[in-house]
Amino acid sequence: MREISNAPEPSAAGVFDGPDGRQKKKPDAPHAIGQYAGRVVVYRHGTLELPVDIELTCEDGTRQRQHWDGHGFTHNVDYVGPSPIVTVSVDPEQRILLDDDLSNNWVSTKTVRAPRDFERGLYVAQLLLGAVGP
Amino acid sequence: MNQAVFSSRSGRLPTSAAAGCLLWVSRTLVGLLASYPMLNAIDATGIGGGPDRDAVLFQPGSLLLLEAVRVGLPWLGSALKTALLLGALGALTELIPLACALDFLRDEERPLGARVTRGIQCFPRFLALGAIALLAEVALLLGASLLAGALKTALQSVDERALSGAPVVVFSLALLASLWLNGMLDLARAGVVERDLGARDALRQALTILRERPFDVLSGSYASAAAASFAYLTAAWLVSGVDLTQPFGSRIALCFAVHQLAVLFGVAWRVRWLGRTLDLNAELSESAGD
Repeated sequence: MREISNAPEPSAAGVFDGPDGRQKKKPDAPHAIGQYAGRVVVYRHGTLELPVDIELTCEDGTRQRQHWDGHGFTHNVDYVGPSPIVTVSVDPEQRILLDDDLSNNWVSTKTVRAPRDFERGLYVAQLLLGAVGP
Repeated sequence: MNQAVFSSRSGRLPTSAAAGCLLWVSRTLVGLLASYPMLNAIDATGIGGGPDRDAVLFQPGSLLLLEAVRVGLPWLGSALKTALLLGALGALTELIPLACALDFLRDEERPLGARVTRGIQCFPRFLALGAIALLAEVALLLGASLLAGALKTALQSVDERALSGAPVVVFSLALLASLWLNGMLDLARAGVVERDLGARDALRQALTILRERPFDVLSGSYASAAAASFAYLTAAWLVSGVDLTQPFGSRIALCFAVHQLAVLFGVAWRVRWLGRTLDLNAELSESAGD
């Protein structure tokens, strides 16, 4: 089981002491979001400890990969970037064949659409109706 | 007589298109309804929840497709039962659009409401004819099974190739006979719409037409089935070259278009055959002096 949380990080604003003296920094714009901070919690099922890759997919399509050595029951993956995380996948290339349930290796914050399944499902249903229907 | 039939056919193109569209739309709607539980069950397995979504199920030798079946077998099993039930009910309701399509082909100038009313009026007789055809096909299948078993016993001492080829020949002949039965069923349905006959009279008229014009009946129904099979096989050949694992919506749209064109092609040939059944019924009525 995995959890994804994202929070916007607005650009810093206020009064700051710097090498050139005191500086005032105004907020960029109302609700302007500079970056996103995210955290993913990965849980290990069972007692077998195997190193795995964890792939984070962001909303803008970029992907980041991190490595977990498999020690411990949970592992936190921290992220800071310009786009929020939408999908996390553990062992994205299915290298661990001992995994007895590959269906829980992903989690997504968005509703996943399946256009290929829809296309094939509709066509098969149409064919069957053509064969056994009126 | 031939001139009358020819003139009825010449004005049939727009109504043929309308009938074809009606059949395609009804089949698509019922297909959507019947496939919905299965699509939900596949979603429930969670296999398509990754960054590549359902593309992982279309990879060559996909491990995840097998995993989806293994993990989601309970959901897929119950969804299949629901899908079959919805498909069966949908196939029954498709009798009304079929009657409307025959009415489109028979009569050009009628309001749509009157056609729908006519379709609903024909529904019980279409249902009775369908039940008779279903019983006949079950009997045919049973007969073919018994014959294949008897041949297996009789050919024990003969060539091994004859032993394994005999059931294939028997079931191929049964398939051809099944298509012939479906042709008879369409003729009877056309009799119901054309002359407002009861189920029994329509069946009797269909048998008369078959006796008098066997080549027209068989060539029409077989051509329709063969054209649809050709379209489906061509679509399968074309789509097999499209790699659906890539994240391009255009490829999915291409597959959708190819598959729907194949379905439309099959429907067009079916409409052509349905029009021919109406003509055969009309010709019989004219020759009988009605």
